[in-house]
Amino acid sequence: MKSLSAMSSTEFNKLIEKLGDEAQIKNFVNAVARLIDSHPHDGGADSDHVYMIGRRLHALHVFDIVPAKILAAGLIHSDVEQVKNFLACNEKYLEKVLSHRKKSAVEVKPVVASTFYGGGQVTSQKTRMLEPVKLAGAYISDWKRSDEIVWETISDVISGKSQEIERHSRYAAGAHVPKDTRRYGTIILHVPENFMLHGNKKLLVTGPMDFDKPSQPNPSKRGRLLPAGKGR
Amino acid sequence: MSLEELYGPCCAAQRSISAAEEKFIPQSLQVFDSSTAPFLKAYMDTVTGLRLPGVLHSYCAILWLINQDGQTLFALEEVVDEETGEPLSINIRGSRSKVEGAVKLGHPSLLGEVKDARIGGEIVYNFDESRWEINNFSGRYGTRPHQTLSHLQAAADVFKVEGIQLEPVFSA
Repeated sequence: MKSLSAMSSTEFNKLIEKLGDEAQIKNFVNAVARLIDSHPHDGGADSDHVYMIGRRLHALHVFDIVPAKILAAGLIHSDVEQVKNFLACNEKYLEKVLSHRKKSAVEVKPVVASTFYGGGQVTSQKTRMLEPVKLAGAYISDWKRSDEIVWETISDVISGKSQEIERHSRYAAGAHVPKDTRRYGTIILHVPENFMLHGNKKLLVTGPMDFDKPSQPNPSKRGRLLPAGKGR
Repeated sequence: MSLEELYGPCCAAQRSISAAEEKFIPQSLQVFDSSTAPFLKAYMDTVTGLRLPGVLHSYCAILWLINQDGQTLFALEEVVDEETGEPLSINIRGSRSKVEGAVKLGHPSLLGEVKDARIGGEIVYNFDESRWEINNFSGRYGTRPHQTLSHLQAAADVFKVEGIQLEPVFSA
């Protein structure tokens, strides 16, 4: 389907006639995803353009034909704020889309701890184990920042690609973690309540860290985070 | 008729304005008046003999606005460096490219410090119908609750007086 942005008014007004079957609706949903993904929610011209297209589609009753569940599935990786902007004229439909979007995400239970050094294991202090394989290639979209705890950026740690903590940030008190400390520490990722994990995008995990020095660090496994069940 | 009756009251933008739109103005910005109208008409009339401008403006909208004083302003939707305002490009609708640090200048950038306007939208060429169209596709200035087709028609008439025929396309 042609870009929604570039459609003439004639094409736009006839759009509803081209939503007669599932394949056509899927094409439309893909076009919506392209629109949303190619326009950042900038609070300016891009946001306004996306809003106006959503508004025009609503005026043409296009969302009466496109099931919210299908649109939600097509927008699973899209910026949720831009999705809200796109459907701002149609609050009830937006609620349905957000609800379906949430259901289709993988739920991750609160508090995940992982030994960072010496074989390592992924454990859960309160709930089920978070298996690294489930995080591989994923993008955690709803992470909330807290100023009360230490934050680190960890790229590809759990996917097993780089297995290195990228950099230190700070303790809450403002003191930097000594560079070598991380080599025999324990990563604890505190996952917020109702945290949702949306799959199949890049992995970017940001979370608080605690460091517990093991008594006999193993240099050969320095900086590694091994899969669950393969601990010391 | 008063400006209020013709084009509606002059109001603040209904939706948010970006920092770049507050600071920068597009370099193509001009007032539609007796000095620019003949050139714009001549430019738009080239679609009768050339395919180039029709294709160009089916993808590149001309933004228009009517301000507090009833002046009609128009400009291309330009892309600038979000820090410096340096012109980088124009916006081509349907393009999927996003450039880091670049930002589009929408309708508010056509105005001065006070970002109030009576009505605004786009002028585009509709290849399917072989006609120029004027619409109210601005979430900031074109779709406020009080705005009607008659306001858009009045804007189209501004151009008609100068010999530019625009088909109004109104979205409620």
